[in-house]
Amino acid sequence: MLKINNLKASIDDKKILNGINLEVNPGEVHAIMGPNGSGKSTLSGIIAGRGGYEISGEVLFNGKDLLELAPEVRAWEGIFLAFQYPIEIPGVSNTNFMRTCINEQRKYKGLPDMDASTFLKTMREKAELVALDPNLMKRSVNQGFSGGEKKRNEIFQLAMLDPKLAILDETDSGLDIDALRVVSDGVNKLRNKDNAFVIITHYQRLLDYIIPDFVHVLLDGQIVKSGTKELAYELEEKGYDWIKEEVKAAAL
Amino acid sequence: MNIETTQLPLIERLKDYLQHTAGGVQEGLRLEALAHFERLGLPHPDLEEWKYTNFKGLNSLDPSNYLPILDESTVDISKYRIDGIDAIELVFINGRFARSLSRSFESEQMYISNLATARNLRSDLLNTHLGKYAQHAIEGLTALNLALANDGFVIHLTKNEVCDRPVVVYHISTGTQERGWNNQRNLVVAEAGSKLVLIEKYISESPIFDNVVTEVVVGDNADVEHYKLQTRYGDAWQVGTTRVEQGRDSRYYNATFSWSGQIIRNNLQARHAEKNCETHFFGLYLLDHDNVIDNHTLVDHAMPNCYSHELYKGIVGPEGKAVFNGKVLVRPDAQKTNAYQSNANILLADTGTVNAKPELEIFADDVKCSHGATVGQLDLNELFYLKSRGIGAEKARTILLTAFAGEVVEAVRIEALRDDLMAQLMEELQRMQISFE
Repeated sequence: MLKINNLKASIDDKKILNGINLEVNPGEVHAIMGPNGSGKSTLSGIIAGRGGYEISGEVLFNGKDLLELAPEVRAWEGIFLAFQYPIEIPGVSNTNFMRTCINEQRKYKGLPDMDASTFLKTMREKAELVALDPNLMKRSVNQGFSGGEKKRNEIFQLAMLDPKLAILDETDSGLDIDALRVVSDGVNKLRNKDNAFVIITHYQRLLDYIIPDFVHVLLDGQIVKSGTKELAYELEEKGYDWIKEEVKAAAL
Repeated sequence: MNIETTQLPLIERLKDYLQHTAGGVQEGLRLEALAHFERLGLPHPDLEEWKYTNFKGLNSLDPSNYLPILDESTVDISKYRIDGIDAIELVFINGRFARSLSRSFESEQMYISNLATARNLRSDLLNTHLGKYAQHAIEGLTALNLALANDGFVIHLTKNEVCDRPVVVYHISTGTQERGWNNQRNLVVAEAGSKLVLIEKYISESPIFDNVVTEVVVGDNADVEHYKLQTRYGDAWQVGTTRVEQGRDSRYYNATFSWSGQIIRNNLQARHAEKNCETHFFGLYLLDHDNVIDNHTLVDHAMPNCYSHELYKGIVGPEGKAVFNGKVLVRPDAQKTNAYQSNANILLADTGTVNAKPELEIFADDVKCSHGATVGQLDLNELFYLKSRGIGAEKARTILLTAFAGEVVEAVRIEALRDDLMAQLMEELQRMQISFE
C-alpha cells in the first residue's frame, strides 16, 4: 500500500530525514517510535503533503507517486493524518466542515453529494464510536474543545472519511488514561483487512491498547531498528540510549 | 462646470452659489460653516489625518455641481431592497429625497422624513441639534457639507418611543457618467428611552463623491442600532462622517460593511457626554485593485463608567489599500472606563497594503483599556489542515476567509440583513479569489 524508498527531507539546509525506507501493507498497524526531534512528525507531515520541505526519494501509495499529489488529492486517494495539534477553525461548524470534506471526496470519486439523512446518521454513529458529545457538532471546529475532545474529534473525522491509510501523529499526547482508552477502542473498531495504520508515538503506553504488528525506531531521521511489539516494551523499559549505543557501535 | 475653466476662486463661487440657493440649513450657520471651510480647505495628504487616503481628483470637482435631478419614476429600487425586512423606507436619488419611492412616517411621536421638509415642519428640532455635534470647526469637509447641504434624512423619536420597524435609507446615485458631488446632511435624534434601528445602504450606478455627515443624538437610556452598507457602491467616492452624542445610560451599536466603492473614508465618532454609556463599533472591509477603504474611528470617553468595544476586520487583495485608525480617548474624568479595540487584517497578496494605527490616549488612572492590531496572511497550518481533510486549495481559502470575516457579519442583529450580507460576502470572496488566482 505505502512504499517509502530512501526518503530524505530538509528544511533550510537542516537535514531532518536521512533516508527512510518503509513498507506498509493492508491490514497492518505500524508504530513509529523515537525521541523528540528524531523526525517523526516530519515523516507524517510529508506523507500527508505538508509543504516547506526539500524532499528527495520516493513515496508510493498504491503505485502512485504521492509526492506529486496535492494534499487534498492524497486525502481523496485515502490518506488521513490525525494532527498532533488539531487546528481550530472559528466560524465553521463541525457538521458543515465534515459535510464539505465528505462531499469533496465523493466528487473526486464521481459520486453525488451524500444525502442529508445518511450524513446525519453516519455522523451520529461515528461520534458514538469515540464518545464525542453530539453538541460539539454544532460548535466551530475544535474551538474551545478540551485537549481530549480535539484528539477524539480527529479520530471522529478519521472514522467519517474512512481512509485506506491513517497516520496518527502523537494522538496519545495530552490524553488521560480514560480518553486514551476511548480513542484506542475507536481505532481498533476501525481496523480491518483493507486499511492500515501508522502510529507515531513517543511512549509505549498507547501500544498497550492498539497492538502494532511492527515497531520501528526512528533516530536522527533514520529507521535504525525494526521489530515487533516486544521492541516497544524494551524501549519503555530501557529508553532510547541503548539503541543509540548500538547504532554508534555498528557505525564503527 | 469645471473649476479649472472658471475664473473665480472656489470660495467666491461658493459664496455666490449660497446667495442664490436655499439650503437645508439655517442661513447664519451656512455662512459660519463656509468661513470655516475657507480656513480649513479640502483634505490633502500633508495632513496627518489624511496621510494614507488621497482623493486626488477632489480639487477638480465642483462642490456645487450636484448630480442631475431625475424623474423618480424611472428608478427601480426593488433590486436593492433587503429581502425579509418590513421597513420604513427613505430613498434618496442623487442626494435628493424621492418622496414617491419612500415610505416615510410622520406622527407626533415620530418624524422620519427628509431635511428639506423638516426645515419647515421641524425647525425647532433642527435649530436645537443640526451642526451641534459634528466638528465643522475642525474638519474641512464637514464644514463644506454644512454650508452646501440641501437634503438628507431626519429621524426624530420622542421620549420613550420605540420604532418597531427598522428604518432603511437607500442612497442611490444614477443617471450620469460624470462624477458629481453630493453634500448630504442627516440628523437622528432619539430622545430619552427611545429605540431605533437604522440601516443606511449606499448604492452607486453613477460615479459620485458623497460627502455625507450624519449626526446621531442618543438620549438618556436610549438605544440606537446603526448599520452602514457600502457593498453595492460601484466606483463611488465617499467621505462619510458619523458623529454620535450619547446621553446617560445610552447604547449605540454600529456595524459598517464596505466592499465596494473606489475611495472610501468613514469617520465614525462617538462621544460619551454622560455617565454609563455603552458603544459598539464593528467594521468589515474587503478590497483589491486600487481601491482604498479607510476607517477612522474615535471613541471619546469623557465621562466615568462607560464601556466601548470595537472590532474591525479586513481582507486586502492585490493593489488594495486599507487604512484603520482607531482612536480611544479617555479623558481625566472618565474613571472606570472599560475600552477594548481590535483590528485584524489578512493580506492576500504582496501588493496589498494595510495601514493599521490604534491610538490610545489615556488621561484617567482607574481604567481598563486594551487594543490589538494584526496584519497577516492566511495561516499555512490552517490551510494544510483543511487540505489534508480533502478540501481543495481554493475552497479551503474561501472557508478560512469566510470564517474570518463572518465574525463581523455575526454582529448583525437583524437576521434577514445578516443572511443578505453573508450571501454578498461569499460572492465578494469568490470574486476576490478569482482575481487572486
